[in-house]
Amino acid sequence: MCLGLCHTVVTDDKEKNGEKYKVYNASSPDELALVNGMRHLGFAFRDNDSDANMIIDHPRTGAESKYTLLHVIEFNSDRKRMSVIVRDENNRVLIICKGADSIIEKRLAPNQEHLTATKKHVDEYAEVGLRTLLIAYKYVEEDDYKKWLAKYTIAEQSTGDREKELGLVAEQIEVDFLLAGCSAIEDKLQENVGKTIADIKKAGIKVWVLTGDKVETAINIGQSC
Amino acid sequence: MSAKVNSSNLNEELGMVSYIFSDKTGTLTQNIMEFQKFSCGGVSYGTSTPKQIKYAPGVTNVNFEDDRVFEGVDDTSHA
Repeated sequence: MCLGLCHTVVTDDKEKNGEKYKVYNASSPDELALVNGMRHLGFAFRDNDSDANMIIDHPRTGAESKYTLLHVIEFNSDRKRMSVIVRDENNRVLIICKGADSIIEKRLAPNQEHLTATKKHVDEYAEVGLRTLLIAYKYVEEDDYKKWLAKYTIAEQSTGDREKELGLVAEQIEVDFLLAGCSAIEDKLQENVGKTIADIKKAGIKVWVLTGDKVETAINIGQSC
Repeated sequence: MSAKVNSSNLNEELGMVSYIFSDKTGTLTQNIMEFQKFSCGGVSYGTSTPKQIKYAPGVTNVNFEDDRVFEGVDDTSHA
């Protein structure tokens, strides 16, 4: 599952009652939930080793898979997506991208078999207030990767608006994706939010909510307040 | 909601407020995410009312159960 790779999570070794285990640390709470979710499903991200390899354990079969991390193209509010580029054990370059459905959908290759069904699921999840992400991937030909890398390296060294230039180059490889699926995450309401907002409304104050989530998710959160 | 007001100006200023613009994530909500469902290959996984689930040590922020992906889950948790 692509989600086990598409993240910037780091691990910590912990020991409790003589049992050793790993906990994940993530700058994004969403990633923390996703990577833990994948671990629960049997795609356990072990660690980045000293050679920048990301290792996924498959506890059910005892197997492991190794991916060399090549690039992380960061999330920002303009891009509304993040990508990682890795090299798999067969030496193939793989790019995995996760992001807002509206953004990812535009970057898919035409005629994705499960797009209609997946979009229906995204809407179902959002309507019950869950935060959704689409996940997509593709394998990149070595030549295409090399050409793209040259441009990316130039952008990385830019002294101008580096973030913008990197974004423009990133956009060129983040196309023709194959749809992998979507994820749904719950973010519970704070305690007494509903009562507080009711009080504020009683005082004649109008409340506007600002969010980057899907409209359906926001509507459900609004209704549950 | 209990709040202690230390400034008498505050009441007057509050009285002038007619709109509140609130951030959602982390303000109205807890910013504590929980993995619940996913869709893959056109199939949605994850039941809406997960039962008591056994998680491997260290696994947090997950509330997921689906028999279709949990065949052999006991092997996993003991691995």
